[in-house]
Amino acid sequence: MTASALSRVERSSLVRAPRSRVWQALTNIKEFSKWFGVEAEDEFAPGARLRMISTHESYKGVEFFVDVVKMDAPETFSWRWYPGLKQPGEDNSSEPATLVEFRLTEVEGGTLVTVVESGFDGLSLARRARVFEENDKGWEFQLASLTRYAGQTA
Amino acid sequence: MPAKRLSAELSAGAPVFAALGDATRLRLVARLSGGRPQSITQLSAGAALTRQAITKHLHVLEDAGLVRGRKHGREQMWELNLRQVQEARRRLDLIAQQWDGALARLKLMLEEEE
Repeated sequence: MTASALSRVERSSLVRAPRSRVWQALTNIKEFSKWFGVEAEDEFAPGARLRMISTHESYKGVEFFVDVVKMDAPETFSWRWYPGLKQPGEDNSSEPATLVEFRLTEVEGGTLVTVVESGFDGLSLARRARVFEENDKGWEFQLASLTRYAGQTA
Repeated sequence: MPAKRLSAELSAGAPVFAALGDATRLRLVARLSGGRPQSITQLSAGAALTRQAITKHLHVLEDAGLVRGRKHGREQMWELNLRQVQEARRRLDLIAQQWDGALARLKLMLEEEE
């Protein structure tokens, strides 16, 4: 067992598109909204805080915030977030957040997109859990879409 | 699994991840993952920390249910609570599945353009 295996999540996927195109899909808020499944008004910029509302069928209406950390075109894009439901009037921005980092690497046939989420050592996991409390179908949906996409994800 | 139960399990996971949010403790978990119970003396071997410091870290891990201490003669032997470690792993796997879904949607969107 490696130490990192218990403190972070890393996933990657080969996308058959040029890196500049992937970068745009990642950092242009209109395009991002489409595949990530959110509504957001502001643009991504280093240091910016974006308010997002999920349009995902399982988490519809769930509000969350993303604090952009780094935008290093066309390679690295990272943010911190405080996943989970807020109670009305509650401010969770002082709570521990996890760091999400996207890395784009040019490979033969396209772009390798790697996402690393780290920092699962605070309250964020418990907070994130509350999303599922509100939604009985959450995981069923995730598992279904995983199965559906399994053949397509490299 | 019903979402309510899963949610309770994820909440229960927070102390576990807090306990693991330290390089020394992660190393202790890794050392114990061979399966054989070890004494403080064995666990301190080659470590830059004192036995007292190691003991303190082991107690944090014990409080999170990740390790168990058992008296063996005059010595306290420490072992991994494998079930708890696997639970932590499984919780991270669930989060990883969400990222799989997101990356798959990104891929689909970009490759459909062609």
